[in-house]
Amino acid sequence: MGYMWCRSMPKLSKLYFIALAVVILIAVGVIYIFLRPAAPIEVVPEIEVLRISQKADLSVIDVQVATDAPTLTVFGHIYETLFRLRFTEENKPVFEPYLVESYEYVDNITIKFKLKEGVLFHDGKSLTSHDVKASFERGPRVGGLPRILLGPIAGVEVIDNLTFVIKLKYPFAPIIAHLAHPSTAIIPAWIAEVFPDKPINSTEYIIGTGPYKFIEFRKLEKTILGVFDKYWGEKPTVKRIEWIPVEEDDTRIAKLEAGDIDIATHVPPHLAGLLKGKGFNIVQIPSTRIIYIGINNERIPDPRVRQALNYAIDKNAIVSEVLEGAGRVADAPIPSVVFGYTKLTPYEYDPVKARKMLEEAGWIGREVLLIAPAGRYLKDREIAEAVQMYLQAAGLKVRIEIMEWAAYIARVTREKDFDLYLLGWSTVTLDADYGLFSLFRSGAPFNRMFYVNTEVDRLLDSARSEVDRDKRLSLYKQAQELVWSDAPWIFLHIEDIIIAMRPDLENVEIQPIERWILTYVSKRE
Amino acid sequence: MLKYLVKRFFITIPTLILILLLTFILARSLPGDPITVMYGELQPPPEVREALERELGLDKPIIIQFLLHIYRMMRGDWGRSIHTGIPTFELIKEAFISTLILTMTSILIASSLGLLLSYLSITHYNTRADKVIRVFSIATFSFPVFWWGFILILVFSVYLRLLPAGGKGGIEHLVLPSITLATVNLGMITRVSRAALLEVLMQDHVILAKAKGLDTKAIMLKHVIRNALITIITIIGLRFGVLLGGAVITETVFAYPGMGKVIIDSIFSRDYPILIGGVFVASLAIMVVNIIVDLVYALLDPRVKVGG
Repeated sequence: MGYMWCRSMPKLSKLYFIALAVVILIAVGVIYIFLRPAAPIEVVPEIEVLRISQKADLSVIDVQVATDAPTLTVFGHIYETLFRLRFTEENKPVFEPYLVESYEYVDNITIKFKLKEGVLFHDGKSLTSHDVKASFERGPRVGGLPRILLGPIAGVEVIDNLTFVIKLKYPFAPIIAHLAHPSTAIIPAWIAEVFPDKPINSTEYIIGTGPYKFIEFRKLEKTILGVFDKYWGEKPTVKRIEWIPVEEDDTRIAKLEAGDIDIATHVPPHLAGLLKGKGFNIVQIPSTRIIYIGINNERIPDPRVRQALNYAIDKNAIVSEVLEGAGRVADAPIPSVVFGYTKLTPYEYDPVKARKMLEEAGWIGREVLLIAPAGRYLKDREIAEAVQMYLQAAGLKVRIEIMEWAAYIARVTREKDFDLYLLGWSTVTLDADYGLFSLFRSGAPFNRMFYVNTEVDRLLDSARSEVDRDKRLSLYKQAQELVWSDAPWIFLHIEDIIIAMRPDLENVEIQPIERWILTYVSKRE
Repeated sequence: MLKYLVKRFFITIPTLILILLLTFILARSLPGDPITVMYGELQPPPEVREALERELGLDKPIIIQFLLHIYRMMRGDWGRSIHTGIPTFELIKEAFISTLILTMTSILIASSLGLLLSYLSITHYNTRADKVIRVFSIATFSFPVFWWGFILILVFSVYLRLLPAGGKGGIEHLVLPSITLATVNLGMITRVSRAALLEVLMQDHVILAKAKGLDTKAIMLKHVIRNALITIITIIGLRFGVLLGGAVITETVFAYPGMGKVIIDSIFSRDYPILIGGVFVASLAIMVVNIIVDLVYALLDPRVKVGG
């Protein structure tokens, strides 16, 4: 063996190893000292900081532009709305005056409001009616959510510094619910003037009246909020909140287990039981988000075919196997916590019936295109694949295209080339109008099924302007029954929210609209 | 020497512009844009979209946008993130420093240990020690990074509770990701150095030196290591350059905001200024590392003439 002679080469003594270890350690230290970011973040005693990991980082920095729940949850601590959402013991949503002291209906399209006195923005200026007017005028210009939520408002009229009148375009019953959504939060008028029709472009403009002021945003690392000393309301118990985005599920859970963070959101269902066994506190509640397969009604105009699609799919199996129990089969087009919900009978899984109906309509063997996003909703890709399998079994040929979110949403909203598409919709106002009108009213902006039923239109139109609660309920009941039997969607399921936290945390307020309020969290001794 | 450096520097400029152009075109040919992402399920009506496109400058022809972007970059204005308003330069600088710390630490560990192991391996050629090192190095560079990262998190964060499970902060946050990256590179560097050392050892001039009865220490230092270093520096330089562009998987597992994560995030959110800035810095870093490696060649091997 020719190589053997290299054994006669000088051997390394132990000293080399020790020297090497020392050199590495010193070098690492030097690298670290020279390259570490300047200005270390101030240190706050442990007990006063709450660390929470959501799956996503702040997506935008403008509260009126934000549409995603993780971002709005952070902003919910910085900004405040005229009303706020609370839940009764029976889990019914109620809307309490928040920045508003009192209000009265002058007539059915005119509401007079009086603001609370002594509310300060984080920049030290007082909250006035002018800020409300400016916020409500800017919102619909820049943001998708304010455009819907403030759409029914014709104008805001300032009476004096604390009094203002909101004029509606038409009688609109759920207006108070809309004024409780974080996207209708009040921003300072001067910021609305600097950025009248574009998103704010620097974090220095994140100024609200909420219990926390914005301290720092480090992209993909953390967002820090600190308590606002001159807050008008009850003094927060948490002095500082650190939002640490961790996209990877296993890492987020490991961080909770390792004690790096106090709360982990978006817990994957298979890990919830494991964490519970280790003594963590797990909260699992239904959200307000329904996941559905929209059916292009122009391409599939026959309601029998659309019903057949609903019969063809085993929703229970999707919930229990694909979602691992983190959801419930939808029994109405809107979730049960929403005002106006009517319990309906889900289309049972009946592949034989589905096949027969498709046969009668002459649809066996026809090809349909199903498009779906990957990574937007819990197990979205897997759900789409399950749907494909079930529909194939019922006798359709299903071509499936799965896309990354940005490409997907561009396709759904701007091209009409699809038969079926998977999307979710969260009824964030907890009022049926939000969950039905924009989706099922013909010509509504998010009616991407091109669904038309003039009776549904009539019911939805009169329900939104009806002030009598019982009459509204009955109108929504009829509308939902019609939508249910017309089946413009394949009604799938309501997603669950699963959150894990340290067992000693109390008063973590978890709302089904995927918002968590941490202001008054305390640690049990 | 200086002339060479200047020349190399000027060659990198067209390369960089070409890379930027390609990135620009590829990013734009992806379906969806920042506005689509910003509004999600609640897409704005066409007139609002047009106004925003004008505001963001997305309405101009792509080539004009590209030239404008290059012009602004040359003047030091890298733009701001479309979604968060953070100045691109600040964001990329921060991410690059994070990546640089991680890369330097892990390459330092990997290359010093790798050299040591490969040396041990040849001086104990074909003994048990050599075999253990060979198996070990094969094993480490075949570890899937995400799996190895999670194993480390499980052991050191979840069970022993010694180190944080990812995130960015103090030096303790650096330990696990550096070990993860170091392990994967360690195997490769050990294998390559061992092969390089062995090859030199078998060359005639080394055997001649040995036959002449030269001191083995002198042979090792002057002839073997010096010659083998060319190969070793190449592999280390290559790995270093690749890591500077970001180690996406490691950064994701450890929720570490380095170049890889920032660039990937900017692709998904179609945040063009960040994407362009990130690709620019990553490419520049790789080129600089290459120049440095070339200079080191010249130091080691008198036949390589810089500027020749």
